[in-house]
Formats: sequence, structure tokens, C-alpha cells
Amino acid sequence: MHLTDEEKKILDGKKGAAAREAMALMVRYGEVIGAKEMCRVTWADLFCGAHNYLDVAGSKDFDEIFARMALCTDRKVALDRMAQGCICYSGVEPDCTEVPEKMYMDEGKQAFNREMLNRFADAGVILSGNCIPYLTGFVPVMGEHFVSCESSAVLFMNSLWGAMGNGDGIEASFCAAVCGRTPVSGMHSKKNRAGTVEVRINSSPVTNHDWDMLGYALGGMLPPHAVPVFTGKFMRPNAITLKTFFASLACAAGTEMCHMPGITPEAPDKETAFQGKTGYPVIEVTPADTRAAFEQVNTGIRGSGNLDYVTIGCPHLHVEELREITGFLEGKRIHPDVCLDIWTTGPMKYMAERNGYAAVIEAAGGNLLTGGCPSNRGYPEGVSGVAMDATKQRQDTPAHFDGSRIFLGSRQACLEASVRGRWQ
Amino acid sequence: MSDILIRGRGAIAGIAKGEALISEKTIIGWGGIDIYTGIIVEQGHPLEGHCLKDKILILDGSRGSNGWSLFFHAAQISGVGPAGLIFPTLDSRTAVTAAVLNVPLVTDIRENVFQRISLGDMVTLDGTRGTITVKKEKDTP
Repeated sequence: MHLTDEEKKILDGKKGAAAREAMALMVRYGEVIGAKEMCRVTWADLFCGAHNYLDVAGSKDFDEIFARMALCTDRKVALDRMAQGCICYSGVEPDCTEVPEKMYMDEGKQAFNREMLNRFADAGVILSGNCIPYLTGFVPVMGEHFVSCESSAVLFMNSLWGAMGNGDGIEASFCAAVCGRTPVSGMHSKKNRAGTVEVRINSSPVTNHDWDMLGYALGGMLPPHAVPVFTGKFMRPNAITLKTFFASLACAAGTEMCHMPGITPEAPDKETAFQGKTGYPVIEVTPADTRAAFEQVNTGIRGSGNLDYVTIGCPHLHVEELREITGFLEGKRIHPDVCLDIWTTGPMKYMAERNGYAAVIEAAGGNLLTGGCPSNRGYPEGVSGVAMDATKQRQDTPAHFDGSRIFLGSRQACLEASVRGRWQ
Repeated sequence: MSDILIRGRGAIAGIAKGEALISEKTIIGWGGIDIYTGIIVEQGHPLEGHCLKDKILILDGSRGSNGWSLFFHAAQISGVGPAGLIFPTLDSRTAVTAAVLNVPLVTDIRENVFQRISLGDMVTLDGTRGTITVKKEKDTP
């Protein structure tokens, strides 16, 4: 693998011990995948804070944890600065840190989480607190190399913006952000961005829920490592709908990049999406496929029952979605036995407050939360009847939950059930 | 009973030996593995209930969110990680997982390992030479 003089200096430790360790992992990664060179990473969306998985490190020392869990080294190194020229976001949080009274972490862990976030902030990381960096100012443009710990964000920014990034993982993102490099492989290379399979959509998706089911159905249909090119007759989805679609598609199928001729920038037409290649396989998604997917993921489909907990906001909601929710909740009251959590991010919440949406949600008895989600924060203790509107969130529900009491449906169905106190 | 030899590219050096933990359907990383016990907890997966510890993990590609490598890494730190890896083709997540775990890896395998290796077979992989030796538990019909 070719390294530039500057990259060799980083590997030799001339830019600090943390950068050296980070570069060592990037070189090993590059060698494993057969990369020939590195590229400069200018945007990094990370996974900062006292997330649960870090507990395996058995330490309360930030540098020890960061070295072991992010830099993948047993050597003692301290994080000083993130790489120069790389704009870093902290990413999704382990809890709703902006609303401490709704946090599930105990006070000791809250303090440690704050300490961790402060250390990252000192190193130059912007505390973003969301899984939708692309809607809050994280804007790698066409041809720019980024890393992101958020699979849906990778698919979104590759596909819709033409920026270049892999869904390679949390350690890889941290290391790239610390040394400023990642191997040129996968979606960092133009030739790998060509379509590999045509997917004819014949399921007529319209709503967010339809697109969510389509993404989930494709999880069982796409070949591994596919770059799908979507054709067929469907109503043009906007960025908010694609946010939902990309979350379910990335999670169900591991997709990092897709094309929609006439919508995504690297696909002015189908031929260009395939970079002139022919002989690709064609698969078709029918209404029966998405219906089967719905029946598979919605394990509570044939049931009904009382609800304790309803979660909406995977991925985090755009302010327009909060406006729509407000339209439903105005003048209504969430059932007293139900906890309704609605997840968004600080800037969206600010707009929701300014526009009066937050007040309506709170008056109805809902919680407008930011930063995390149940996948990271966990579920309230003792809940058994749970409803949600996103397949990605459904796939992360704890294994010990009774599947027949986890209900998945459209946002409207979730809101109606929150008021009724019952899924039916 | 006879040994089977499979060749690929050795991508992380070293020799690892263990029972094959193999599935044609790759597993979900995030939420699919108990990071303290190494047990696969993905509901309905063919490997549900099996443990990563000391196994030769054989999967093609990844599923689930970007936190794929992290779950294997956390299991390794808990002392219940796999001994070696066979990833017939790589994607960015499996490549990073191998780099993070830094255990012997053989990849770029042309033949279909899923037809030649069964769950529980004793596998020795040489990540320097790129070879895999399989001792069959049962003769393949």
C-alpha cells in the first residue's frame, strides 16, 4: 500500500501517539481490503459518549477506553486533537442528555457521559447529538470523502449527495477522524459506485411506512454487497421519505449506496448509474413482497393489546415531521398508561419550540426528546406492550421482549394507539 | 473421512484452529451478539445460541447497522471473541472487523465454502499462506 510522506510521518508518530495508532488501524484495514492508497477524510460523524458497549473495557478512564475501544490498541495514548481539516460530529448519544430529567442513566454514568463528551469537545468534536447529521449541517459534497458511524447516513450521503463514504464502522470512523485518512476502497472509489442490480419497484410506495417496508423487504432480496438501481413507477420521494427508506434499507441489507435515475446525482439515467455496464441482474419488488416483509417484521401483527410505550423518531425527525405530528395531537391526550417518546435533534427541537409544535406535543402528554433513541438509551423498565413506526428500531429491540407484544405500524397508527392506550 | 484444503488470500497473518461457526446467512452485528458471553442472540438466525468464543467465524458480508465490527470487538475484549476469520468476499464492515480483531483472516475465496464446510467442522486456517484445512465431522454425502 502506498503511503505519502505525510502519511508515513503520521504512522511514525510524528503527529502524536493517537494519530499513530489510528493510522496503524487504517493501514491494516487497507491491507486487508487490498487498497492501494489512502484518501483524506474531511467530515467525520462519530459515536461519542458513554455508550453501553464501552462497559466491556472495565475502565472509567477516558483515554484508556478510547485507546482500547476506538483506536484498538493496548498502548496507553491520550486523545489530544482530531485530525486537522476534518470536521467532526459527535453523533447519536447514549441517552437524551439535553433533557436530564428523562434520562435513564444513573447519575454516576450521566457525569461520566458528560466528561466523555467534554473530552471529545476539547479535541475539536462538535456535539451534534443526532443520527441525521446530513440534516444538521454535516455536508460533504460530491466527491468529498467522509466517514460516518450511522449506516443510514452513509447511504444517504453517498446516494443523494454523491459524497464518498463506507459504512465501515465505529472504530474505523474514529481512527479516520484522528489520523485524517481512510483507505481508498469501497465507495471511496468511483468504479465501485456503479449499480450492480436493477430493482424494479412495483409495490407503489407512497407513505414513509411504504418505503420503510420496501427497504426491509429488500433486506431479504438483494444479493450481498449490492448497489441497487431503483426503477419502476413510483411517486418521487422527498429527502424526508428517503431518510426513512435509507434507514431500513441500510439496516436490513447493509446497502451503502444506491441510485434512482433522475433523482440521485450519479444517475442522470439508468445507463450512467450502471457506468455503462450491462448484463446485471434484475429483481422486482411486488406488493406481495412488501406485505410478506411487513408480516415478518411486525411480530405483533395478529395481536392487539394494551400499550406501555410508544417510540417515534427513527431516524430522528425533521421539523416537518414534528409539524405533522402536531396536527394529529392538537387537542388530544396521550393515554395515561402510555409513555410516548418522540425523538429528534436539538436544532429541530429549537424550530419546533419556535413554531409551537413542542408545546402541543407536551400538552398532549408526549415527550419530545433529543440525542438518542431506545436502541441506545434502552426501554423503560417493565414495559411489555410496545409500538413503533420504524423497522430499524424494531430490529434493535431487546431479545427478551415478547415479540407478540411489539407492534409496528405507520406513524399515524402509533399516534392513534398512544391516545387509545391499546394496539388493535 | 478426509481433510479438505481450500485456498484463498491470507490477509491477516497467523495460524488459528477451531470449530467452524458458519452460516450462509450472515448475522446482524448490532444487537445480534451478546458482548459479554459472545452468544449470538439474533432471533431466528441459524446460529442463534452459538458462541463466538475460540471459533473460526465463517460469514459472507455483513448485515445491520454500522456497528458491526464493534460487537465482535467488544466480545473480543470480554474474552469471548473468535479465534480466526474466513470471509470469502469482503465488504467494508467485514474488512474493518478483521482489522480491528487482528486475528488470522483468509479471504478472496473462489469456491463456495458454504458447501464444503459445515457447522462444527474442525478448521485450521493459515492467514499467512491463505490456506484452510477442514477436518470433516461427517463425510459430506
